[in-house]
Amino acid sequence: MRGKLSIYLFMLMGILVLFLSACNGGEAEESGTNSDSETEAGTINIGFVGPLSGGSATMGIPAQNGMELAVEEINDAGGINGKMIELMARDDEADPAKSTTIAQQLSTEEEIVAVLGGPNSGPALANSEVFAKYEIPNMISIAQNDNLLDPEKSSFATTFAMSENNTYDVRAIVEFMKSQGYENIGVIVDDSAYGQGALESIETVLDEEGIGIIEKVEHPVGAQSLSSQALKLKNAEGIDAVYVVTLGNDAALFVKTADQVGLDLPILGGRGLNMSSFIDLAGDATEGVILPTIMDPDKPEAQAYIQAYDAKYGEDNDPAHVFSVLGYDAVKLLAEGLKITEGKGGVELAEALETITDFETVSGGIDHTASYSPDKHVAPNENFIIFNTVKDGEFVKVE
Amino acid sequence: MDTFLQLIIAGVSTGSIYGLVALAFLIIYNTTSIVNFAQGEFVMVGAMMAFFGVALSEFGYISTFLIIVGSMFVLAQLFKFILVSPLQKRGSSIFHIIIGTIAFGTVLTEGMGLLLGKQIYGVRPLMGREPLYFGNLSILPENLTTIVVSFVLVLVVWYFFHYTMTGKSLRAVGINPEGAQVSGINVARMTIIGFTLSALVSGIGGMMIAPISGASPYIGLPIAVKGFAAAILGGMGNIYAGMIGGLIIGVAESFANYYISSYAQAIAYGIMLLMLFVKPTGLFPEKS
Repeated sequence: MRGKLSIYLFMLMGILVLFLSACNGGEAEESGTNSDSETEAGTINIGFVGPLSGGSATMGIPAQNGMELAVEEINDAGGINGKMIELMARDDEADPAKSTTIAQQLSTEEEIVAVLGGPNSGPALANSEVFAKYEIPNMISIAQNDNLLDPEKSSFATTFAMSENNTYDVRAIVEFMKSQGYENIGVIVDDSAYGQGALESIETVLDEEGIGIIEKVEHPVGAQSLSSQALKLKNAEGIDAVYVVTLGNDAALFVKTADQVGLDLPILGGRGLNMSSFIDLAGDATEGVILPTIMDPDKPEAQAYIQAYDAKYGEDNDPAHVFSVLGYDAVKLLAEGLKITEGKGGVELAEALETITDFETVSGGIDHTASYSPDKHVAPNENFIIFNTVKDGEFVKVE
Repeated sequence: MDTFLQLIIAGVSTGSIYGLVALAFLIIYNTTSIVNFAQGEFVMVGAMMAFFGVALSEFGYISTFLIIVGSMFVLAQLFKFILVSPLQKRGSSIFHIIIGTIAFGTVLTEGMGLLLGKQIYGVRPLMGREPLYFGNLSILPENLTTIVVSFVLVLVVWYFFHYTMTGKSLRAVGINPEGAQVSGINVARMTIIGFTLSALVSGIGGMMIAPISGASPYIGLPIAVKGFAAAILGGMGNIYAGMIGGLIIGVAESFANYYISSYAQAIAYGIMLLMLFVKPTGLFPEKS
C-alpha cells in the first residue's frame, strides 16, 4: 500500500507541475469585439493583444474599454477618410509565449494596419519582435518596463509607447520624496516582471539621486500574508518612507498589515495601486498613501473622459481611469498617424507617427502633450505624472 | 521576541487557510480515493460568491453565507452528476476521474469569469477593519476569524466522522466500498454527502480569504498547491492532519519570508518533495 501510495503521489506531483506550467497558458480563448477574420471593405483593422483574463485583466479590460471608446468616437466622427476603424482584441493572458503566437496569427492571418500592446512588459517585449518582423506599427499602451523600446534593436523602428517607462515614474516619485525630505526608504516589490523591472529602475535612480534603500523585500503575486515583509521593514532602522511597487490587491494587504504591525511610515506607491481592489480591500489603511497617476481631474478633457467612461462601463471598472485612458490615448495617437497615411499601415504609418508633435492627450497633467520623433518613441513630455492620494476612500489629487 | 511571536501569528493565519483547503481535499480523497484537482477552484467559487454577495449585491454576511452554502451544494451535485457518476458508469478508472477534475476546475474558472468578471475584486471583511491588539501583538480581524473558523470546521468534521451514523458510514465507504455496500450502506448517497461536505468547507475557506487577498476566478490554483502540500505533509490517509501540515507550512513560510526572503516561495514545494521522498505517508498516517 505504501509503495502504491508513493507512486500515486508522484503522479500527482507530475500532474501538478504540468498544470502549473499551463496555468499561465490556460486554454485558447479568443475574446474580442470581432473574431471575424474577414475584412469588410472600407474598414481599418487595428489589433489589440493584452490580458483579458487572469490577474492582469484588471488592467487589460479597462485598456480595451478605453480603446473601444476612442474607436467609437472616431467612427462617429466619420472614421479615417470615411473608413471605419475596427478593433480586433485578443487575450494573451499575460503570457509571453501566448502573446507571441497571437502576434504571429494577427500578423499573417488578419489584415491589421497597426496593433496596440497591453499592460504587461513580458508579453509586450516578446510580441513586439513579431510585429516588427512584419513591419506592423506597434503602439504599447500601458506596459512600462525600461527595456521595451531599445534604439539598438531593429524592432525600434515600428515600436511606439503611449506611456512613459519605470524610470520616468521613479524619477517623478524621487522628486516627491526629496520635496518631503526623505533620505532613506524601504522598498517592497512583487516577484513579477513589473515588480522586478521597477526594482532595477528604483535602485539605479535612487543611487543617482542620493536616496538610500535601507531594506528591500519581495513577495509573490497574490500573497496570502505580507506580515513578514511588513515586520522586516518595521524592524529596519532609519527608514523615512516605504515605496510599494505591486498591484492593487497585494498593495492593499501590505498597507493593512503595515497598519496592524505598527509600521507608521508614509507610504508611496507605483502606478499599479490605481485599482478599486486596493481601496475595497484595505479601507482606511489606504488613507494618505501617495501614488503617481496620469489623470488630472482639473483638466476639462479628463473630466469629460471620466464622465463618458463611467457612463459606459461603470464607476468601478477603472476607478482611477489610469489604465483605460492609456488605451484611449493610444488609439487616438494611432488614428492621428492613420489620418496622415490615409489609412495605410506599415512603415509608412511608423514614419507618420514620428512626425506627430504636441498632440493633446486626455492623460497627463495640464501641460501634457504627446510627441514622437525618429529617436523618441515614447509619447509623454515632462508633465505626464501627477500625484494622487487616498482621502475618504477616493483617489484625490495632491495639490 | 515580539517579531518572533508576530511571525508565528502570521504563519498560523495563512497556515489555517492551507489547512482548510487540505481538509476539503482530504475529505474527498478519504471517502472516494479521488484526488480533486478542482479543490482550489471550489475555494475560488466560495470567494467569488462572497464578492457577489458582500460587494456586488451589498447583502450582509449572513445572506452571503447562505448563498455560498447554496452554491457549494449545487457545485457538489454538479461534481457528482456531471463528472464522477458518468465516468464511473462507463467503468473509467480513478485516474480518468482525477484528470476529469482538472477539466472541471478549468470550466469553473472560466465560467465564473464569464458570470462575474475576470478582474480581482475586493470584499470588505466581516468583523470590521481595526486591527486587534493583545499586548504588543496584533492581528487583523479577518485573520483571526479565519483561524477560529478553520479550527471549528476541523472539529465539526471530526465530530461528524466519529460520532454520527452518516459520518461513520462515510468512513466505512472510504475504507472498503464493497464491504460498506454489503452492510447495507447506500454508497452513492454517501459519496454525494462527502462531496457536499468538502465543497462546503472549500466555500467557507473562499469566504475567509476573499477579504484578505481579494476574489478573482484565478486564485484557485495557487491556493490548491499549498493545500496539496499541506495534505501530503500531514498524511494523505488522515483527514485532520492536513490542518497540522498547513500550519507547519504557513509558519515555515512566514519565517522564511522574514529571514531568507528570496527562497520563501520554494518552502511549500520543498516540503512536499521532501515528504514524498522520505515519508510519502505523511507525518501523521492514519493508524489502522
